[in-house]
Amino acid sequence: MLFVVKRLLLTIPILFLVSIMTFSLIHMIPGDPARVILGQEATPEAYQALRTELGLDQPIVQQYFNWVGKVLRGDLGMSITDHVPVSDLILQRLPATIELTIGTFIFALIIAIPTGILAAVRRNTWIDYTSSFLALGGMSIPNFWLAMMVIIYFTVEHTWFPSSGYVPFFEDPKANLMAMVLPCIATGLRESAVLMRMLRSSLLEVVNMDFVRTAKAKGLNEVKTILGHVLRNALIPVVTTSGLMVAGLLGGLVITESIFSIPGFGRLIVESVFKRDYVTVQGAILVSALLVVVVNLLVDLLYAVIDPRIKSGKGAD
Amino acid sequence: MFSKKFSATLATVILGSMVALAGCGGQSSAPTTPSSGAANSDAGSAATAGKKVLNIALKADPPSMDPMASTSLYDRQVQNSIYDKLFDISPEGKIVPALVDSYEVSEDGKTYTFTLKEGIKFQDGTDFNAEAVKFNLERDLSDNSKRKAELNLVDKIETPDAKTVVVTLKSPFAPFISVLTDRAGMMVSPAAVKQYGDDYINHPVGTGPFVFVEHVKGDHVTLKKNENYWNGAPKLDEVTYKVFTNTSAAVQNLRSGMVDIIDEIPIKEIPTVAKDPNLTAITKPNMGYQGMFLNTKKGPLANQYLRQAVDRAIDRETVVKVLFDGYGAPAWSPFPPGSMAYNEATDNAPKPNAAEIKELLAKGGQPNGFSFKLQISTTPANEQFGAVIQNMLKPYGINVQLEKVEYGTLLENGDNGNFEALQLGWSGRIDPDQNFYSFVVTDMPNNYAGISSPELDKAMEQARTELDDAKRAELYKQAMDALHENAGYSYIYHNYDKFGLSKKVTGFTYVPDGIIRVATVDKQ
Amino acid sequence: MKTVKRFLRTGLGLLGALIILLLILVAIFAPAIATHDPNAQDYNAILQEPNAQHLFGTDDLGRDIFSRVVYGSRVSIEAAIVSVGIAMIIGVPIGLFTGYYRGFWDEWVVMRIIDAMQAFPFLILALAISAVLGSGFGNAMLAIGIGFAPSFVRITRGQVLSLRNMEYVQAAKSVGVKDMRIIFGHILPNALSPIIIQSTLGMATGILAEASLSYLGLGVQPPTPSWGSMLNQAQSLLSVAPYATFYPGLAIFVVVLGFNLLGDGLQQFLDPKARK
Repeated sequence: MLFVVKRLLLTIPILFLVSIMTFSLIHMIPGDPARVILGQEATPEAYQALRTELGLDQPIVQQYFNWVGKVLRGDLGMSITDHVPVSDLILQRLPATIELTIGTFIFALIIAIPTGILAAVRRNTWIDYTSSFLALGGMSIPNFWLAMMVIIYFTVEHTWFPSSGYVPFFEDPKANLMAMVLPCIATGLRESAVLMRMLRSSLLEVVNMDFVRTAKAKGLNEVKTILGHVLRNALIPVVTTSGLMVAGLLGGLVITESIFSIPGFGRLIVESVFKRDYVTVQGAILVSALLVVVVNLLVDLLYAVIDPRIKSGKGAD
Repeated sequence: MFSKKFSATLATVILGSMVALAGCGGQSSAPTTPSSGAANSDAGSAATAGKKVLNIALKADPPSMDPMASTSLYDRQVQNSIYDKLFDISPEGKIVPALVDSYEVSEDGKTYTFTLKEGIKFQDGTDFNAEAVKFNLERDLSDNSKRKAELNLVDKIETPDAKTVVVTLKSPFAPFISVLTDRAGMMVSPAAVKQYGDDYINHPVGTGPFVFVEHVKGDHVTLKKNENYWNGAPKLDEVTYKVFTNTSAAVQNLRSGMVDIIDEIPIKEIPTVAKDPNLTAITKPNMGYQGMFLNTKKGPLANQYLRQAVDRAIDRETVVKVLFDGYGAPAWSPFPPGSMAYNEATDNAPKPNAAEIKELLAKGGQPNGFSFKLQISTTPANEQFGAVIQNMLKPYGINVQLEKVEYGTLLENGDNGNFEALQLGWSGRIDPDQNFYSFVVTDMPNNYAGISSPELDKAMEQARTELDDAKRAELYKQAMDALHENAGYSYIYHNYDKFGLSKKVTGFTYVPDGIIRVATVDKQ
Repeated sequence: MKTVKRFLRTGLGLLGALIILLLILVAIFAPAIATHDPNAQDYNAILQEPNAQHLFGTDDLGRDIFSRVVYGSRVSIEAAIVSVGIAMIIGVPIGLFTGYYRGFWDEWVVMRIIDAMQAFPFLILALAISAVLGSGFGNAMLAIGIGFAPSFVRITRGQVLSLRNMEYVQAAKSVGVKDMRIIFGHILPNALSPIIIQSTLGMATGILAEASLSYLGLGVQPPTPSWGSMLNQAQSLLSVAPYATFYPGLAIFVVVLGFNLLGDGLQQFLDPKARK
């Protein structure tokens, strides 16, 4: 219980710092948003009027407190360039990103679970070395390059899958899934490599534990041992790792979504950075950090539930 | 550690799941192999039974549906489907009345009397009439309007009756009608503006052939047919503008049938699109240009001879060949062939002459060459442009340092004069004044280079009020000569429109303002 | 059999070291290896497929892709060294001091800032920072270095925490050795191996991040050849000239793989826990 309380309390200063960083980061960007919005045809009066409207002429501290006050009420502000609430923009973009995330994990697990098991079972054989080499390879491929290569192969040379043309799932499920295949491969390969390595080492750890030896000593069939005891226990750290991978995944999606023209959260960030839409960048970055903080919190709490050693309060670091 | 038996079992499981996966892949991919593509798959057409939907790919998201607040070319594509304008541009590049039935100009060129077409209604059911025109023009003249500069010579607007509008100008302004062929001439519903206020931008209502349905920012805009369109109901049920920032991806989607029209074919893909039996490539010169501001106020280019040296050292033929494979035209003025102000002598730059450039460098006090910084914005196309310019000036000892900056920063630096050279073009308007005046006349807002030439200013002021085309053209020639002397802006090429169309699209006519007009388009 | 396995295990690490060595050699001898001036434009040889004259083909300005890839190695090495260098200069001292002194600053300021920084997805943070600072190589490096510093703080601090209670440290303390001497003379040398592993893996991340930022148009200034910006340029030629995207990306992949292999090998070698 002490651990849970401490962990929750720790979240507060993190959130505070996250808000300060988000706010100040974006306000140091060169390039005046009023200038960007007005474009090439601006008159000085219109420019001044817009600055006032956006509150850009207020002192920065004032701007921060106004912003935090609104954020606490769930208001992320109005997009500078699009004139719609940022929260709407983000909500509009989340479904595609969530779908992509799920697809990526499915793809990653399909690859990682069998290869991870195989590498652990045949450890220190050429199978193990080959698969750990391939895993390192998977972790080393730049995802934007992989994206281009799958486009060249699956779209340009063979017209098997479209390279873009996202439609919401409920509008046209088939077209939606077709459009998701390549992006999921492009982001999922790296994640599968990470998961595979994690699964392999955690399998090896569990295999050496007492209860597995006992099970074996009792004469249980090896396949049953693996599937029944080892895998279940070994999957716990894998699942929690998946949770911790959310941050990295969000970063990767920034690029994949741009290449495959998927209207997701990551592309929203890139677009807004390039449009100098301060308010949207702020909101989106804040939300991405919040997502990570919350997921980390859940993972830690989950861990505390599963592994009683942590509850003592030692695990906070 | 593990037995052989276990490994074998495992291998079977893995192999099995791989086969199953491969099977899934094969099954799901099979139906889309035909060139018709996924959009026309059974599921797709079932959902939109019998509806004719035209999909248009745009290179960027249109930020604003409100013509008063708009500053983007992509806005204009969508706005032209929602709104009608007082005047329009014909495929021949001539100005023709649209919502206006006929008009008269007073002898002194200061009073315009418009007679409007009757019986036209906005998409919200309210009447289009003289009051609405007055409302729109006054709205466009308001302080936070981006149209203000285009209309700033308007003195007053009167409406003697429901179909007559009398506009009085402060002084004669030759480009006035041409301004009304663009956003300043788009008529928005006064009722909708009053209802939505600042949020009108997300609820646009016009008199045009298509009605706004939704805008998912950064992804698409959907419009549906205006059943009561005054000029005959459109043949399409829906028009969707989809954003493809990657033009290659847009071409792939054009091929697969996911989109029917793309607003830009990447240069290198034009030949393959043109050869494709299912597609048409439309490549035509439009009214835009590209070039560089050379700062006359500070830095090495403040020296006129050095500016001239840079301007004369650029081989425009080669630029166009390398960057555009010929889908662009060399320029030495903002006026493309076909423009009223076009003049062969002022638009054809002489071939670079090493001796002349050496002499200019010597006169500028830098006989062995010099260095300057050229700011370019971050797109790959602009980087290519910069690299080519850099390469071209190198043989003369002119060393160009490229500096990539964001588009917003670029505009800001231009505005503050915070640059040595800056690459920025213009998408072009039908009247020469709109492509020139504000960029080169002393102290005008877009005159980033600080150009100040008395002869040029004088000729331009006269050209604004001169209603006779031949006399105006002569004035533009004088102005161009003065600008070549000053060399504060170096024109480099005229843009081309490079549309890609599916052969299923019928009834499309190219108009040289580069706007895709969908009122008469059909899809087979 | 044992030795074969041992060789295989370290073999991958050696392969990594070999790749990096090769990269360094290519970068140093770039002028000798490159067949063309990487920035020379040949308008008569635009978009040529790989051939005897142009091993990897030419780009849309007629520049030799092979030579550009060769010169691009310099940018990548610089990216690896500079970004990790910045991260270490920031991260290691902070980790040392906060881990040694602990207390309020450690618990409630530094570690919470680190937590907050790590809440931002790395690439998004780097993207935002380099957008703030403006595009350009130096700024991109700074962005990556700052984004990467927290992991060095954590690694170093973790080591210090376990070392500070060691007998020899306590002994040194009790005989009145100054803190600075203990930190730099006793603790740091013993904390080095995880830091080295982390920097090797960090260089892989640094190269990838530089390439990503350049790919998004926020990296090096043109016409400097960098693998990421070459991909950015070639992206629109995907269906016309796939080779223009293939080789720069392959180069990034191989080099990143090299650092990852070496880092992994070092981990097996230096970290007793990982040696199973």
